[in-house]
Formats: sequence, C-alpha cells, structure tokens
Amino acid sequence: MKPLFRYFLILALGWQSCAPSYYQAGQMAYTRYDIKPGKKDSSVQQLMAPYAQQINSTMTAVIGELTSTLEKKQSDNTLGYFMTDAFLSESKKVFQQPVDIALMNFGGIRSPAMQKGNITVGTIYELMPFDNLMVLVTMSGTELQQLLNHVAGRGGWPISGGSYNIQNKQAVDVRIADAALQPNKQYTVALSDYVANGGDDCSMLTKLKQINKGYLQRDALIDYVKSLTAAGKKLDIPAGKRVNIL
Amino acid sequence: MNRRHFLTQSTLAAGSLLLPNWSMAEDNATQQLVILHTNDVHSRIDPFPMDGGRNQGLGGVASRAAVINEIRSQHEHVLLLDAGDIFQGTPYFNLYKGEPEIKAMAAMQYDACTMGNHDFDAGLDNFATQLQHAAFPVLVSNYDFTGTAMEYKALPYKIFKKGRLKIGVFGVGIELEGLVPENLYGKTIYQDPIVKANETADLLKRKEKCDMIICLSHLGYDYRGSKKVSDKILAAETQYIDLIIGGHTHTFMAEPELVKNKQGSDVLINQVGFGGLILGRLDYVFSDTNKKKFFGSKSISIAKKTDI
Repeated sequence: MKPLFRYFLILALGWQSCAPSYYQAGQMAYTRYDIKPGKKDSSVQQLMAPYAQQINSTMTAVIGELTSTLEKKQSDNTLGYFMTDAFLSESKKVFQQPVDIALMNFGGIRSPAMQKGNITVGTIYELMPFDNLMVLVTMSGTELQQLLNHVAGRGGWPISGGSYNIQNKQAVDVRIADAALQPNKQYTVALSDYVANGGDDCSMLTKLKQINKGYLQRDALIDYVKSLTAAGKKLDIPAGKRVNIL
Repeated sequence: MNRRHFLTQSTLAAGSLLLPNWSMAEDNATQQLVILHTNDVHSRIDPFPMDGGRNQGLGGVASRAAVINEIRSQHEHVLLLDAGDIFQGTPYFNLYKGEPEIKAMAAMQYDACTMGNHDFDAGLDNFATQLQHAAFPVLVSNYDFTGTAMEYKALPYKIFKKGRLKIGVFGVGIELEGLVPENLYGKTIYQDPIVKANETADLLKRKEKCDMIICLSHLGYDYRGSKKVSDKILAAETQYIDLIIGGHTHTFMAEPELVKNKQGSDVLINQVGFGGLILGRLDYVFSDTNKKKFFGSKSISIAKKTDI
C-alpha cells in the first residue's frame, strides 16, 4: 500500500467514527416498583442511623389517647376539628386574649386520618409537619365573610368556635359562638402565618394586621393533647357537623 | 438490507406494540437507557409508620436504594432523577433541615433533581447550604436566582452522556407567589415555564443535538378546566421535549401518559405519587437515525407495563 493511500484510508475511517450520529427513541417499556419492606441497602441504612436514633427517641413518646379515629374529609373533617379546637384553646392561653374562631387550611392537614389509641409526638408531626406559626388576625364581619367565601370556593376548611354551610361555592348561615355573623362586628381569628401571609391564595388577608408570638401550630397541638392528659381526659371530638355542603 | 434489519425498521416505524428485543447486543445502531425517577419524597427517610394507614411499612430510603442498586447491577446506562419536594413532611426535616434527605440522595447517586415549592420551606439559604451534601445538580430553568444564595448553585440544564447518547435534562418550577411565603423565596423571580422550557429544549436539541430531552417539572400533572400551567399544558405547548417527569400534585399514574406536543410529536408524562412509595422506571431503546428525522416529528411505542 502506498503511504499516501494509507494516509487517506486512515483519514476516511477516522472521519466515519467522528461523524455526528443521531439517535431516536422508538420504544419504551414501563416498570412501576412499589417500595416494599424487604431487602435494604446497609450503607444507606448506616448513613441514616444517627439521625434515626435521635428521631425515634423523640417521636415515640406517648402524650395522650384518642377515643375514636379522626378523618380528613371535606364536609365533616373530624381531624380538622381537633386541630382547630387545639388552635382556639391554646391561642387564648398563649396570646392571653379572647379569640373567636380558628380555621385550618385543608391542604395543611398532612395525614389522611389519626387512628384511635395512643397519641405520640410522632403522630402530631405526621399531621402537622410544617413549622407554621400561630397568628391572630382581627377583622370585620364583612372581611370574615369574604375569607369564608374564599374558603368555601376551595371546598371548605374546618373551623372551631363557629359553623357555616357551603352553597354555590359561597359560605352561608355563618354562625360565630352560636350567633349569626354581624358585618360590623370585629372578630379575632387564629390562623397559620402561611394563610395570613396570603398562602392558598388568601391575598385578602395580607393587608390585615397580625399578632405573632413565634408559637408553632404544631406545639399548640402537642400542648392541647398534653393538657387533656394532665386533666385526666382523653381526646374526644363531639359529634356534629360544623361545615355542611348544601 | 437484510430481512431482520428491515423488520426492526418497519416495526419501529409502525409504532408496533411488539416487545423490544432486549437480548439484542447493544451496538452503535441501537442504544439503551434506563431512567429511574421519584418525586415529592417529602423527607420520607424511614418507611411510613405502622399506624394502620394504607401506606404503613412502605417506602424508605434503604429499601429504595436496594432496588436501585439491583437495577444498576444489570444495566450500564442509568439516569436517576427527582422532580422536587425533597423536603418537608417528617420530623427529619424539622430537626435536620434536609441534611439526611440530601445525603441519602447522594448515596443513591441521583444524577439530578429540580426544586419544589417545599424545598424553600426552611428558606432558600438553607436549601443552598444543604446542597454541600449533594453530588448532583439542581436544575431549574425558570427561576432567576440572581442575588440569592442559589445564584451559582442551580443550573438551567445539564447534558448527560450515556454510551453514544446525549441526554439533555432541564427543570421547571411552579409559581411561587401565593404558594410559598415571600420571606422564604426572597429575590427569586419566577419566569413563564412554557417560554423557558421552549428556549431550553430548543437549545438542547438544535445547538447541543441531544438525542433525548427530559424535563423535570414541579408544575403539577393537570388542573382540569383551569388555565393554570400544568405538565399537560407544558407538553402541548412546547417542542423537542421527549419526557416530562412530574411532581407537586402527588399523582399516582398507572403508567406514563402519551400526549402530543405542538409539533405533533409524542411526549410522555409520568409521576409516581409521593413519599418514595414508588420508583418509576422507563426503559428506552434508541436507534440511529438521520439528521432530517432527528429534528422531525417522532412517535414512540409503549412496549409493556410491569408492576413490581
């Protein structure tokens, strides 16, 4: 082979391997793995062990007892009733002032249910993982009606200290402490800082003054259960719908 | 052209439901890629607690890592991706602010993730700080982080070379106003995800000549009857995206959904619930093609579906 020809051959082969290649996906097969108990990776397990030990000793502490299973539902949200009852009761103590109602945004309730029996610190963390703070917002009856209409438009949020019905995505028959809502009266509402700062599209609240003492809503839930236990009581949500969808 | 080659070509063209020929040795004409993905893991380090709930005992990083390791031992080219909301949901996050979550992902060798709204929950500075434990990039193309702690930490996209394949991966995040408190997202500016996705996918396809483009999205799967941007809308109003790995809406999809983009090409959307209950796996088979077909409209056949 002549040297020149060999040079061209090398160049030609080299050119071919460097030529841009284009690929196109033609087929896809899908596999869905449920992550079940079974084989565990020991190195990941060891990496997590120091964190897990600390968490477990904190979270397994029993703080109270629940008489019947509570559920997160849009219309008769017994789990939400527990949360708002705790917020109303504990905010009165922490803020040392009268509070009319407490509301809890539906999306902020992070467990589908709370099973009857022992309540642990872990149960409360599952329910309320967010480090949301308790705030008080005082508003007129007209402003409260606007807030409840917004809430009704989103399917309804649980309430403590009052009740309302939902008709055509509006809040109707609003009652606060067994009296009809009065447009010109001032009401103090316990909310999360998330909602009061405009979360869940509550922009109508951002212009209102807030009182904030840096008290976590999760601590309100824990303190409420502990106070029941200290009084020799179990957590028991009285029957009766507070939010009815008409 | 030999008969076997002809048959392979025509089944691909016809979008046949025949099983891919897995035994076929990988040569330059075909390339294989396994994509594994999670979303909305929400600090679920341990399996779900034994509380009588429907998910009790399921999930957990150690079990997920075992499944991933087994797949890696069988396949050379694997991409492991997450669509955001790594943080928030268990006491691990309240106590450690995301450190064990990121360390576990690094140990599992995640290749990339995008940012979900809850990843802002302990502040943007905290997210940036926790990334010191990450060996993978955070991809977001539509958040302008200028002047924030994330400014030099997030990338709009990254290109992965797997065998002879070039895979472009980018991310899109959800509107922050009204969802994330302003004090947490700070100076982050949300930009139109459709505009940024088109810009990024165009760059990845036409300039970088990626063989596949994957979008990690935390927009949410579908908001029926609403104009709110979702993965369904993103898919329909963009071009060059092959796969959207979604999150945010915690949607348990039985299998990836096939939708058409604005060019008429196939886009797959998938999402695997939340809490690390499920690992999604997509096995792609690529064949070589010419330049014209590469930029033209594409169709993909879904060969089979398995639940394990």
